[in-house]
Amino acid sequence: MTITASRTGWSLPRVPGLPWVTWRQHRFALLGVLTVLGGFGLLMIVNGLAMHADYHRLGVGSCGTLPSSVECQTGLEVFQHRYQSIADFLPTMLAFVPALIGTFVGAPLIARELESGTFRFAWTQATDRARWTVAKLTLLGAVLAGLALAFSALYGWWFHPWEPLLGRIQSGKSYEVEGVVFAARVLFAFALGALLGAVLRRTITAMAATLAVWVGVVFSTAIYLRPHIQAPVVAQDSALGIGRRDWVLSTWTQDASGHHLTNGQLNDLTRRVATRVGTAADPRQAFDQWFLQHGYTSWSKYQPNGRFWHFQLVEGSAYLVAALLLGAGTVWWVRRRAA
Amino acid sequence: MTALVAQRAGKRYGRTWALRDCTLAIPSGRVVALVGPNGAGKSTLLNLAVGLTEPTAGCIRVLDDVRPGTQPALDRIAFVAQDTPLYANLSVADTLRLVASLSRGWDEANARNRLSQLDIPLRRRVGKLSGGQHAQVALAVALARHPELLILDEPVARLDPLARHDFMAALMTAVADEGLSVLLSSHVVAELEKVCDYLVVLSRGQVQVAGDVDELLAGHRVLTGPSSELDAVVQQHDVVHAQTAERQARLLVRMTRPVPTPLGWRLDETNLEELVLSYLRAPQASALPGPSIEAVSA
Repeated sequence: MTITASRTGWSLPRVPGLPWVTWRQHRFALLGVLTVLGGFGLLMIVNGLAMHADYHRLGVGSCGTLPSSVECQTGLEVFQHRYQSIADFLPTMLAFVPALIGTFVGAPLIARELESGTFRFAWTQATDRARWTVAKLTLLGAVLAGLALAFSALYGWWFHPWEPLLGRIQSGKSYEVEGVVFAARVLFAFALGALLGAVLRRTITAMAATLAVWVGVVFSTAIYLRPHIQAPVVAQDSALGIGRRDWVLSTWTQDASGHHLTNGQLNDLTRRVATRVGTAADPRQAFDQWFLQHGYTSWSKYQPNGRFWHFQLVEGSAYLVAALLLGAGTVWWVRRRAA
Repeated sequence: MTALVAQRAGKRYGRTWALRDCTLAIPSGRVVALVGPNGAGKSTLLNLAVGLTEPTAGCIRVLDDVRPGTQPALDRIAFVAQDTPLYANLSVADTLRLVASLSRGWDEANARNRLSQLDIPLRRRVGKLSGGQHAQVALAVALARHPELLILDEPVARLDPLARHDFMAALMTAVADEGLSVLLSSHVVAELEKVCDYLVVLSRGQVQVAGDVDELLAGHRVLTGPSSELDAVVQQHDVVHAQTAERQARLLVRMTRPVPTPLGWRLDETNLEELVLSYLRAPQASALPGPSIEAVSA
């Protein structure tokens, strides 16, 4: 049933049914999300325009991974001086935005209805409460995912000058904001909050629980599971060394027979060799020479920057599946247990 | 035609039975009062009837064998829950639109008429309304769905006497106009005498009395006489509850068989409040003068 507007002058086209209910009840939550993402977005646009301009003006882009000339070196230093700190802290900070969305949009979604008793009003109208829950979860989820993907794309543009220098697969940095993992985590946080709210029935408790579980899950998967998405590359460090763009999992030194040196052994050895070569004309070169002659080699285990999209798709799908399961669990709980 | 049938229905929360072994048949087209002390299981029974919870044992059917909470039941039943919950941050107009969006057969003009007669401004936020207005909005949105059965859980418990009177008046007008069935729980017995024609007394999770109000009143009398003769009278009559004050005793008796009034005693008619209170004070007197399920469905 639609109602005819009897307001004077203009009237917006009327959205019927559950979409309107969802919009009317959650528009302030969505406005809050839009404000946070918009605020950071504005910061990235303002900062990004200046950064992109400086990047070209200082000629950092034409230098490649390793600065070869003095001009390049100076340009890079100026660029880093101006923009390195924001490039370091911004992605780390933005990595927590999905948790905020889960806490402030997901957790109150059903908990507030249960806490204030309004579920007795909402769920006894002619709309079955499973449909009510499905509509709210899918509509809000779609809007949040859309906003998150747009935000990730904007972040990708902002971060672009740093990509040749820092890469984007490093854990705890751009990887958490770029690509599809960010949006998938927004959905995961939202569905997690909704389920915890339905089960715990208290808004504040559900918010705290959502934050705690989200941080626990995201940190533990990033630390313990993500390195195993694909077998890491094990390679001997060449003269050039591995780029700073890759995600280094571990480094070690081994002797001629292939035994890994412990930190203690390596420290002892370094001290002994340092005293032995101390009198040489070029101690630095003599030091390296000694290690080379005695068959010591240093190695790294790492995930190359080129695997970014593969990692993103695997991890993003996992969070998306988790979000769908949590959403289904929320509907089931509301239908069977909540009231 | 039945509004509600319960067969050995029970609801347990943890280890406590909020409602136990509830067998009941309420005819439709009546205004039914569901009374009982706090914690008697009234809200539980009503929540079961609107499908907010499911029974742990037994079964509940509404409107001639419809399962509560299913689409046909949701379509035909409106519910005004305890403390008349509404969204405090919505305006009255948006509350109407919300219910319209979630209902079928919504009658916008009906709701607006009702509210304008009560001078409730549509633009005001629900949270800023007085208690009486708040309850009236809840009633108006329930009635504008044109339900066949309207269920109300303690709708006037928190209202002042004037708002309480206005609410009941609005409800009675709607009942007279639309002929809908009403199931109303309350612990304010005095309010009910004028409005209800069917009574269900619930005590400690079980049905104690169920029946037509006129039949119940006709089937009970009050005997007043000297308390010294109390024992003799109690043996002759079907006494629900006896109250003694100094020399005088006052008994509520059930007129199950014709018994002569004892000498020196007076026989009077009773009223609904006295009847309910007597039964509530004597939880053992759990006879059911009301119709059995067979009698109703026949």
